[in-house]
Amino acid sequence: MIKIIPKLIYTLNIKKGYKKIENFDRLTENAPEINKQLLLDMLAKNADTEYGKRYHFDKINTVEDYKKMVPFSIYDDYAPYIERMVAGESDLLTKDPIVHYALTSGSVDNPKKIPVSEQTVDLYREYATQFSFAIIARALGKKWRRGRGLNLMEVKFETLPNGLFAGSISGRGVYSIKDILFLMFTSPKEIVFPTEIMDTKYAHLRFALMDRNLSYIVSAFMTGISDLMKYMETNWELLVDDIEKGTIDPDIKIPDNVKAQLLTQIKPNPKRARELRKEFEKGFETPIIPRIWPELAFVHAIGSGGFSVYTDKMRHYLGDIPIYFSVYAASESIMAICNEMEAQEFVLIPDSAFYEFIPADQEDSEETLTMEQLETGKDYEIVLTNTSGFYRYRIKDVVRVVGWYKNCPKIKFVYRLNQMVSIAGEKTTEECISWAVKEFARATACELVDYSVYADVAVSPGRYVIFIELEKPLPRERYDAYRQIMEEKLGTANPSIGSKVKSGVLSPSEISFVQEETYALYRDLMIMRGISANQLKPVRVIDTLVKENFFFALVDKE
Amino acid sequence: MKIEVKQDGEIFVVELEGRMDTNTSPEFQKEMEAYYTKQGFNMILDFDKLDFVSSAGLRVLLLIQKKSKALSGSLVIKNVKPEIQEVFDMTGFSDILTIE
Repeated sequence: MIKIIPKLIYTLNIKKGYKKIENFDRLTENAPEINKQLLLDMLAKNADTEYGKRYHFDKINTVEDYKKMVPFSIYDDYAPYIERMVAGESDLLTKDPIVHYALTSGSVDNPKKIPVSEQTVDLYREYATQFSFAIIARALGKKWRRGRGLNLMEVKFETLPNGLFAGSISGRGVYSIKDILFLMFTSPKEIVFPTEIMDTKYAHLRFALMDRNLSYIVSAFMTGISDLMKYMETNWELLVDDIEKGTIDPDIKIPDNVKAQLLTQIKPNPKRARELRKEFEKGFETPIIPRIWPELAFVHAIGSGGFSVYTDKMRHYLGDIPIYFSVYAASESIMAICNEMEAQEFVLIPDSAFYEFIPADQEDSEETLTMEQLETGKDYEIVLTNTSGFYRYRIKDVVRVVGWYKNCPKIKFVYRLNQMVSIAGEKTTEECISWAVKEFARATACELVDYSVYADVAVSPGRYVIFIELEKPLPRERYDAYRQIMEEKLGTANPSIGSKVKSGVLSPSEISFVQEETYALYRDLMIMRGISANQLKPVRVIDTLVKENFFFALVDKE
Repeated sequence: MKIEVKQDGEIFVVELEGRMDTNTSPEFQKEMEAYYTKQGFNMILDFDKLDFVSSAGLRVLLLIQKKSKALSGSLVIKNVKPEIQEVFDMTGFSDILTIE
């Protein structure tokens, strides 16, 4: 019985997803018109809000009117409204009821609270769940047995003065299915809704490993899954011992009341423990996941772009098991979605937000383009009007148009404008650094763990410092040769760096190899400070004093 | 790294000598397990003869610190050399650990 219910739930979601795909195909046929109509509908609906009155939404009849009458915005433009909304006022930005506030990493003391309407929640559910499952089901057929999955998205909410929850947008999705969670996922609600800081890696794995029929793994970001696999590789003996005896090792940090609750859901399982031990004892040289979870059909997580180093690691654990790269989304909106398994390109969702685009080489331009005006191969900053009351909002993401699905652009994320490093106007993006570091690893036959870039302006002229952690250190005596390889790769990735180094505008770049486990330590520290492991993004740019001190302190000087 | 554990009443005093790095941290963690897994454990790490702590060592210290909170215990680090104190300061560990 317990196996049939998850199957029924997934089948129902997939059925809805197939309808969503059909609808998506219709929408993308007429994407530009659908998108413009969405804007006009939103403006009509919100004309009577404070923001709508301020910018005369009632007088806007065309996209051109909109561009002329409503200015670009950033979060700070909305902050005063949001504070009033949190205090209980409504109809300030949107007539739609706000049901949640997505907390994002602003400054440490004052994280942004992005309002999320019911419509936005629905869009997330319909696309990130139903549409996604249907794409996966279509690709995998009977290979996906539709059993329970391992979900790493945790729900950590705080309650605001208006009674609404604030927390991650992915957590909101999980919250909406809280009553059927145990039918869909292996982790009990005590783990998914942690009330205190605890060893959730152990807890997620403890329950997932008990289930031989685990069907898939889902996480917001690939970092969470990759870290979990590393934890499993290091701690499998402890986990298997506990599965055998039906215990939770006292060494594991889980509050007593939670532990007592979890223990009621655990029985000794020597048979499963034997099976797991046999596979773990064979080692991790060959993919472990298909050996311990023979029915596992896919992984569902954001894993392209800056996450690709973690995706590469996951391939080692997964073998041939495919990855669904999920969505291109932010707290403000779900903007684009993969419509194929393993594809790392995302089709813009025409009915999720209204999109404008600023060519990346004209970032100071006030002129924007709409989707039908975009050109394949070119990069654009996205300007968003969402379904939660943000208008012409610059989310600071730059995307590249990589093709078209029907009449709708397919994009990939390229970089964040505020993560771009520029010492002397050379504008080096995350994509450039990623390419250069991976090429460096290829040229030196080393295995990357992680990397970051730092703009060192304490020297004159300024220089790039690339921080790298490797699985095994490279010989120190060849350091200068490595530095030259990195210089060459950076110069290829961004020719402006090469020419500026040659002309003396920039100092030659440096590599700083950090000690083993430095990036894992950084993540441990963030988790200890209360950030969910699942929400941790890679440190690509060392852009704060805290990060600067941390990474410089742990440079391998020996 | 040399590890010597002395018991002073209910307090475990651990004298460390040498380097706490990638090679020695797993052994250090293993040896300490018997102590930091006890409810209400009290541990003093004496760093007087410890010359170096790497990222791997810091991860073990963080683990023991977390255990001390989970098990209502305590971890105190004593006699830290200036070069290790600098690492603690720069990485934010000075705010997390009790250093005397």
